[in-house]
Amino acid sequence: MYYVCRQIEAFGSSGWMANLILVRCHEIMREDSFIIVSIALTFVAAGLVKGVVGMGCLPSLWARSVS
Amino acid sequence: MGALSLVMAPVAAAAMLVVPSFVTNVWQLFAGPPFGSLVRRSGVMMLAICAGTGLTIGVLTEQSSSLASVALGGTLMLYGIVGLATPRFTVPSRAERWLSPLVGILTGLVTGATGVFVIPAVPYLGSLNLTKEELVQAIGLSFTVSTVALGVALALSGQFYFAAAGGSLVAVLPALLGVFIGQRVRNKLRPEVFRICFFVGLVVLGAYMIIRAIVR
Repeated sequence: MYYVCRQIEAFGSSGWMANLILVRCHEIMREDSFIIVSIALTFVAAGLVKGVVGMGCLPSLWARSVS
Repeated sequence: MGALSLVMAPVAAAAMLVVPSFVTNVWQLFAGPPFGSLVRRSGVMMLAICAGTGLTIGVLTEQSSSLASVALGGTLMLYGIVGLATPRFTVPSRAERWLSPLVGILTGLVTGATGVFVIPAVPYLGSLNLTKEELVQAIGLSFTVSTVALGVALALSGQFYFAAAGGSLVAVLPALLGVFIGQRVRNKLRPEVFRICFFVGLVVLGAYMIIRAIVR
């Protein structure tokens, strides 16, 4: 759980919001399902922010994570 | 579970951002009105971004840039707060000819050094008196060019491994779903509300950059 949340944080500020929801989800889901849903939710949240204002944290964090 | 563990390995988690980031930027570029005039208007700026990125890529690959992230995040927050508090600031069209290449080269230098694409490109694009659709499209073009420039620069310096990016295909669909929903929300926003969202977005992004650099 902790490891997954740390990974999600790497996806940006929207990942933080997703974390708040996921902590509750984790209590009622199996670990595998939780990981899949958490990844999907994080990217939906990041995409939503990007869709509204045209920018998000994905590009710059990607750049830093692969360097 | 095997595939999942591949996805969640640290290297794969990092590389997972590659494809959705690129695909959503390209979609953002193509989803608006025809962008031929946008490319003509900002072509020199885009070329300057590529040149600037190549010049400073060594900084990104050689040392930590936490201090730079704090400075850039602070600048972004300040610009967002000023934008929220004051009337619209616009760059006169006659100044674009010399300001666009300058902003492009500065953005490229910052991108190569820190991996951050937004300063000063996004505030500059925000001051060009574009409609909300044109602004989002212009940001999409700038981010697409910056992503490619940075990817090429990293690859040339031996710091980017294309094989690790395979896992990021998994994340494309949810990211596109989010963008699709976000675009529908944006279409319903009045220009003034969008402007507030835009500047609030800059403040939040700046705050996040600072917090992440400090907590890291």
